[in-house]
Amino acid sequence: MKSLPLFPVTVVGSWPRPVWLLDAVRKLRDAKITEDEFRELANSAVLLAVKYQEDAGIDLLTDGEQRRDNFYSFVVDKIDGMKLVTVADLMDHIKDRAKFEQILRGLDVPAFSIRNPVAVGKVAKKRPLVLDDYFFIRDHTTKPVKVTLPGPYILSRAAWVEPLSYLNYRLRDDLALEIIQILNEEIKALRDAGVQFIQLDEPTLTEVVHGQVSAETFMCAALLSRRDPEEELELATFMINETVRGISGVKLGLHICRGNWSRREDVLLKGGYEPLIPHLMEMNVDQLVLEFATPRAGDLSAFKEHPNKKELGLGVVNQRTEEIESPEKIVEKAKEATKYFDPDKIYLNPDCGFGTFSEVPMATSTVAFEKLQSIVKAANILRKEFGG
Amino acid sequence: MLSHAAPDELNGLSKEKLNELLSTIDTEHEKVRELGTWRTRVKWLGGLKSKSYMRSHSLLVDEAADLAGVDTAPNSVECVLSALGACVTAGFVFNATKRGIRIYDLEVALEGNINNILRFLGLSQTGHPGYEQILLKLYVRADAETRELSEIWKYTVETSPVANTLSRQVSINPQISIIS
Repeated sequence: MKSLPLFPVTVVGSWPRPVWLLDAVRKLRDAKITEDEFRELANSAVLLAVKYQEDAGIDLLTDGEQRRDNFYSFVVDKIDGMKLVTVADLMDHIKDRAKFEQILRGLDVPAFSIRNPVAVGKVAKKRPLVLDDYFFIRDHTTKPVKVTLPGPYILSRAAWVEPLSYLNYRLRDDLALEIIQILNEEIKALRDAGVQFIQLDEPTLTEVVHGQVSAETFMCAALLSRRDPEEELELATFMINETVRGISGVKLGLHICRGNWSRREDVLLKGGYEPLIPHLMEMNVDQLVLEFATPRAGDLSAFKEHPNKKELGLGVVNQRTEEIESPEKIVEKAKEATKYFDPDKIYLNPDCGFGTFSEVPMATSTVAFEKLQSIVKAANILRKEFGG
Repeated sequence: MLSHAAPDELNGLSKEKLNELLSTIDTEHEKVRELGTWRTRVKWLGGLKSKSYMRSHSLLVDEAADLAGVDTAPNSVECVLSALGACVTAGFVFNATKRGIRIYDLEVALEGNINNILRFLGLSQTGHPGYEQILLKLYVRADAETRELSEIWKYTVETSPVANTLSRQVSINPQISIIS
């Protein structure tokens, strides 16, 4: 494993896609270009994202998720039995349509723009989920690499739509077990290939506790009808632990934000991590990658009952704003975190990805780059102070 | 959204039939007169429910539970929004297809604000129980530049029969026939 300095600077995962890549995605969808032609363009976009990250001076980088439509729906190309279905196409199957309309209205997005991976047949891995992507970036950087994967909870919840999935999976949990198996195998393969950090993305865990009562959310067209949040979190804990069962020799992280589909703060979830913390402590991951750059995220004192038990990927910049946070402000946030975490257990990152949904980026590459530069400056200040 | 289109088709419309319609309709005076008059018959089903019949089609309408209905179908004012949304959807597709523009996805979101719903319930004498404003938002993904799509949208709303009905003063002629 390549060593990292004190207060390593990293990203959560995604980078804004260049316009020409988004154009290529549409052309691929319309069969106007081949998969090979798309791959060449995606490779170039990855190299561009890597260059930005390296030039900013970050320590642990990703491929910017350039090849993905969004952080989780890309799996349909890698798993047999799954199909990308737009929320518009799912409208006839959604029970709580009034609530859905409210969400769509709040987000100011059309239902046809939100695509969801749905299990329409028996699922089985067709090709590696992200391993091939990792092989490419490994050949083009000397920096340590983080690889991101959608977590088992969001994948199984999103993919089970009763009228479409029932024939093969009578219950959601039946599908979940197979998804867990696929993810476990992928993580082992990534570990064996030399990945240093694997991050599972589970943004809907905050929705379980802070979301309004509804059978569905926009992210998962059929998120479990709202059982007791405690039950849901216990289930998520079980799924995550089963996903990472038997895995050692690689750092495992879990990213939980409050949604990254809109630049409007008023439509995104708010609420501290307090209800989640006891469950997060039971999850067999090394690091929690959390957002703390906005007031919506609550306070770091959420960890006062559980200090230092895990590493913290501390969200220190808001990827949705154009204002570049000053290094001093970032240092202040990091120092606050040291009340609950030893300095060598703190990584610095943005709250979430810069381009979680490829067609709705949260920032331009320029703004993303400048925010990362500010985090790096802050890290250097902290290293001098804490002796790194 | 549209795939496997026949060569003659664009946006699910036959280009040949569209051209034929546009080149002959203004000379077919009888047809134009027919297209200027539309009819619906509404049958009461009990409670606040009704069924509307128009040509060989029908449409159920109910009322929301909050307004004493049983919410088994959309209510009338929702149908007004639906009519407007469907009209401009058809209009936009029609106008875009005339220009040879391929549409990939299209959705219209509407929201109407009633001036005073209590007037409908007989609980107030102020204002009126009709829409005073309707927000009408088009989401579209198509093979054309923003400027052209915006022009088509503007033209569509200007020439929408339902939008014109709602925005102009329409003379409603109520009559009653008591059957013994």
